[in-house]
Formats: sequence, C-alpha cells, structure tokens
Amino acid sequence: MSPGTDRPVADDFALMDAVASRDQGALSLLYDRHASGVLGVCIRILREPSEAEEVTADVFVEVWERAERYDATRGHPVAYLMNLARSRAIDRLRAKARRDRNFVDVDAGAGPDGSRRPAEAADPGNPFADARTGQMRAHIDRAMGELPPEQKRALALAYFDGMSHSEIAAALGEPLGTVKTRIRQGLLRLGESLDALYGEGASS
Amino acid sequence: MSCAERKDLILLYVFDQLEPDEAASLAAHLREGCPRCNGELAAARTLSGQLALSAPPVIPSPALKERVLNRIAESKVVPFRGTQPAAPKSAPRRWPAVGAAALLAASVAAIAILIPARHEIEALRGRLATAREAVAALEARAASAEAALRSLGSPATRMTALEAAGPDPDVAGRLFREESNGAWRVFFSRMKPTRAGRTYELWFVTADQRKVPAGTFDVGADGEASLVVTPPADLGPIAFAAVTEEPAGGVPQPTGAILLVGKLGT
Repeated sequence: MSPGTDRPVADDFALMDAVASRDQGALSLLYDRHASGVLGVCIRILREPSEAEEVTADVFVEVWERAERYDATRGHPVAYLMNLARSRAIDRLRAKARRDRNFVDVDAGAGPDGSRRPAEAADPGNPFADARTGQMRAHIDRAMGELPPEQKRALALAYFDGMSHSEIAAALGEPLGTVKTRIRQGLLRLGESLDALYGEGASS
Repeated sequence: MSCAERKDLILLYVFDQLEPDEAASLAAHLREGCPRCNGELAAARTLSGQLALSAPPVIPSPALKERVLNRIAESKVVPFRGTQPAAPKSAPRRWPAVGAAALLAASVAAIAILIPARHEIEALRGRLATAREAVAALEARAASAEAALRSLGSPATRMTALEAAGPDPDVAGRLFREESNGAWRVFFSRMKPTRAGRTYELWFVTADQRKVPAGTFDVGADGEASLVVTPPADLGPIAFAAVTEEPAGGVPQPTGAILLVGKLGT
C-alpha cells in the first residue's frame, strides 16, 4: 500500500501549509502525489489530453499563487485540489461552449475508452500515489457503484459534463422534474453511503 | 428550519442543486457562522472533491511537471507569510483556524485513513464553539452593563450599535448612553490587536462636523475592549461615534480610515 519511495510521508495538510510558505519542494511533492487525479478529472471533463494538461498546470500554479485561499476548515486538501480542477475544467468547457460532444461514457466509473478499473486499483503507474487518496477513490467508487444507473448517469452529466438540468433532460430524453429528482436522490444516497462507511469506521 | 434538516440541503447546495432562493437562504445561515452547518459544508465539499476522484487517474507527461515548476519559479507572487497581512479582504467570515492545520495533521497521522475527516471537523467545531462562547460572553457582559445602567433608575439609557465600516467585517461595538450621569460606556468585540506603535481611537463627530477625540483603547488577545467616556457638556449635539487606528497615544484629528461607525439618535 505504501508508495515506492522512502520519502517521509508528509500529510496533505502539512504540504498545503508548506506550499503557503512558498516551499517549492512541497508543491513538487503535492504535484507528484495528485497530478494524476487532477489530470484524470480534467480529461474526463474536457476529453482532450492537451487541454486537460493545460488546465492541470493552471490548477497547480493557482494553488501555488493563492495557497492562502485554502482553509483547512473547508475540507480535505485532496478535495480542495479536485474541486478546483473540476471547476477550472468546467469553466474551460463552458468557455468553448462545445456542446456537440457525444456522451458515450456517461458512466463515471468507466474510463475514456470504456474500460473499467478494478474497484480497488488506486492509481496504477503513479509511484507517489498515497494510500489515503487511494482509499478515498475506492470509497467513492464503491458508493457510486451502489447507485441505480439512472441516478448515476444524471449525476455524472451534471458533475462531469457541467450540464444544466434541461440539457440533461434533452440528452436523456427524460422530463425535467425526473432529472432533478434523480440528481438529488443520487447525491443524498451518495452522502448517506459515505456517512455510513465513515461512521462505521469511526465507531470501531 | 433546524440544522438537522439543513444537512441534506447543504449537500445539494455544494453541488449547485438548490433553487436560487433556497441557496440564498442557506448561504445566509452559513455566513452567520453556524458551527454545525459549516462542518456539514466542509464534509459536503470533501464529498464533491472525492467524487472527482472517481474519474480514472491519468499519469501526466514528465514535461508537464517541468512546465508547472518553471511557471512557479517565474511567478511573482508576494509571500504572505512572515509579514502581517491586512484583514482578509472580502473573505467570508473565516473560522478561527489558528493551528487548525497542525491539529488536523496530528489527527490524520494518528488515526486510520479517512476517519480523521470526521475528527478534523469535530476538532474544528470545538474550536469554533470556543470562539463563539467568547463572543457570547462579551455580549453577555455588554448586556449586563446595559442592565446595570438601566438599574440606575434612568429611563433614558440608549444603545447605539457601532458597525464595521472598514476592511474587517467582523468588528462590532456597542455604545450605551445614560443621559442622567453623562457617562457613556462603549464595548468593542472581535477587533484585531493593533500593531506595535498603534492604537485604536474613538471619535465623536458633532452635528457641525467637528471631530473630537474621545479616548484611545487597545484590545486584548480576545479582541475585546471597553471604554467609559464622558463627553464635555459644552460639546453640543453628537451625531456619530467612529473608531480609527492611529499612532500610539492618539492624535487630535483622525488620520486613519474609519473602522467602525454608529449614528447616534437624538
């Protein structure tokens, strides 16, 4: 489970603190650890590797330049990075107003080529992958896997494709109200299953 | 609506799934600093980021890291640690995060993977609760001072709120006027300690626009201060009370920007 390195394991909170103190080594480590996740979500959203790499670079530069914006009370650093990546990628997507894409792989669990990762495969090929991010990924994969497919599909279109309710309704050929309900139910169910997961762990 | 009922709304809010009026009302509640709901907000943001992890990771080309590191090396950002920054500009009310990262780091290291997320939030809730108790204690003190003034038997005790007018939106003041004995009591809260060589100064602005120094004060580590002032009888009607930051010892005319201001009723 431990990455192929004997580098002392600084947790992500400590790394963010060091980045805020302008420690380039910390930023470099943060990049090693999380660039694959950031690039992954950017590719999932933009579907173009070169653009996704640009956004990935922008994200890490923004983290460097505005590290004071990160507030540990507002969520885990990985979540901060991934939210920032998603938000910047969606911005890029909307700026291009590229609405002619096909939506073949709306299943968030499937790769761009339709392949599916083993549920517990953390981050193959990344020697710096950290166990905690791997666990977070495994847990969300499991929780997403438990959603009914129609909820998962609507949620993925909203979250990864930045589509509005009416766009999703048009794409799926479903009534607007149904789409809204599916997204809401999917999110609440996701929240519940993660609560249950972490609640179990916390009480043991 | 109870905070237990808000939990689901917060999740939908983070995912931008609320109607605008629902979102606005929830945002207002969160800005008030409710510890429980802000804890849920952090949890929902973590879930949002975690959902992004469900996209398959892709190893970037080595050239990308070079690009990032080069851009960072050329970046002209001003270091903000080491010099005291101005009050966080236009930031929403920040939680008291002193040492929070360290606290979180400790709990992360100590406890099994992912469980700390809950502990982190609990720890921060605790810190926030402590801070809120301090504010509540101050308000209680202000209230008891008001009660004390009232108990003097005067029907004429009036309170004027001094409100933030500068970069720090959290500062607050309360001015109690007791007409019969002429002593005014002013309480301040949530103010940052001044830098060395500086002090806060209270001003009365008369109806004819004269600015009259009414005393200097410094706040403790708790951000609180109080002042008893007796305006000269010959001053004439006072229209406003205001606070600026000035050189230590105070100055005869204000030089700093107004940080707090309140309009006195007649």
